[in-house]
Amino acid sequence: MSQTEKKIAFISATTLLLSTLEYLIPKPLPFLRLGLANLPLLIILDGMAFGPFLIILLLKAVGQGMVSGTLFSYLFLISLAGTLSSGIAMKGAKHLFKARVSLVGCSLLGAFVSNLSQLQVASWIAYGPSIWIAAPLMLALGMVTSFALGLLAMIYLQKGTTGKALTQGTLSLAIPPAEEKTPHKHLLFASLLAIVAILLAKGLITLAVITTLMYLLQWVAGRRIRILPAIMLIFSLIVLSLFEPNGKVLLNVGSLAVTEGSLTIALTKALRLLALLAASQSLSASNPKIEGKAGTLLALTLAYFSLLTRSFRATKGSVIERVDQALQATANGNSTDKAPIPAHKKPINIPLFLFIVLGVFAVALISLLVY
Amino acid sequence: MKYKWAPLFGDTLILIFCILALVAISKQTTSGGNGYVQIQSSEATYRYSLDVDREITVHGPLGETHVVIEDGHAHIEDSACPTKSCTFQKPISDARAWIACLPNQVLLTIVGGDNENLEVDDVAN
Repeated sequence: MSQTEKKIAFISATTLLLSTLEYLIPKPLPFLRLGLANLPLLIILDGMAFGPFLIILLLKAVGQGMVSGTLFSYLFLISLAGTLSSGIAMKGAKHLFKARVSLVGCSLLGAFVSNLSQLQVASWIAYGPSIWIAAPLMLALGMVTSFALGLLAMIYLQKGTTGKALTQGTLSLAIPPAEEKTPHKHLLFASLLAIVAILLAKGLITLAVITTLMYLLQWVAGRRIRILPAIMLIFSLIVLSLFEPNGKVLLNVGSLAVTEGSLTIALTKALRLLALLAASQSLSASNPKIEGKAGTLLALTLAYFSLLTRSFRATKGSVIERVDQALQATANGNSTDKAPIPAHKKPINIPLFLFIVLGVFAVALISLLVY
Repeated sequence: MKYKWAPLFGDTLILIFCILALVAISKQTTSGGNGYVQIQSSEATYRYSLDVDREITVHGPLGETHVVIEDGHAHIEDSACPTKSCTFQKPISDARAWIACLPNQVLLTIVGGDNENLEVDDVAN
């Protein structure tokens, strides 16, 4: 394992730690993001060559997908588009302007491009063109938060220790012990089968049944079920459907109207997306293994991430101090002896898992015959 | 001191680009597209986006009325009324425009859409 590879994995793991932290910070609006995970990208923007930088972007997106369990869903595509486009735009701006652009400018551009491409991909694969109604607010908020983030990056580069050590290459990284997870091939296959069934299923009632079964599957797979994001998704799709009326008017909302056709379309879409998200969670629980060099690098990233979160929990002080301490401890490899190893998870009930997938497939087939 | 202010050049360019793009996108999204056609029949009220071409059938006391949405305009293609005068009405797309089939109790009106253009058109007319 070369020093560059270790560095790549370490920085990618840092982005994962920060996106987990961002997740814990309460927000006034659900879609308001600080983009804390982009802080390491800004800090290494000048010192890192384009190739390794691109690999970090990919590891960040894939790692976030694996940690949150959304890797095999539409959410991953949206996040990947945002990460890649903003990373390339920031690197491009730095290359073009060199010393004539600060990290604040790069951060502004990165957030703007990221939001634009996320909106575009979201409109293609999930929400439809009416999502652009959210664009002005999202872009304006993004400009404010990215401005703050750019300033934070500049301050951290001057004051923080690990950031400096990383850019100057004086940090020597210890290799963390790899966590061996057994992949469940049949669970992986069953989850893929469930995805096919969800995509084929027709009709609102069918999808309601399938979504319920998929949530059951996610629970059997031992992944946490979160209700609030699901409600937010349904709500936002219904709001967007107001702008594409289609059919009998059920209810007037000011100058807009809830129509039968667009409500059915919105609910069908929402249920299908929720079922696919649950399938992604179940697929993640099967511990799919990626072979080759990319797999090794990803495994190293996740190992660093697990060490980082454990040492972060063991530290005290302000958030920035704790992040800095966790980075130091993980880099030096002296965090393992202090931090407790996480408790072992309950094994998955495999027959029940397969039985539910069979149920999902049967419901989808019946819907194809009926409709 | 010259170096200290150098980053402002790129930053300003990026800021201007972002603001211009934001204004352009906001203008486009708030213009509200083509608006919607509302169809009132004796049974219920229906509403459709003018952006999507389609054919709609509504029922009145005399029978069916066929409405067609095409290229952002709506018109009555056929109706179960004696004179068929509603089928000769010009397709509508602007707010305040309407087509009625009185015998079959069907009324087409345009709701929403771009109100700024409307006033300009009104003056021109």
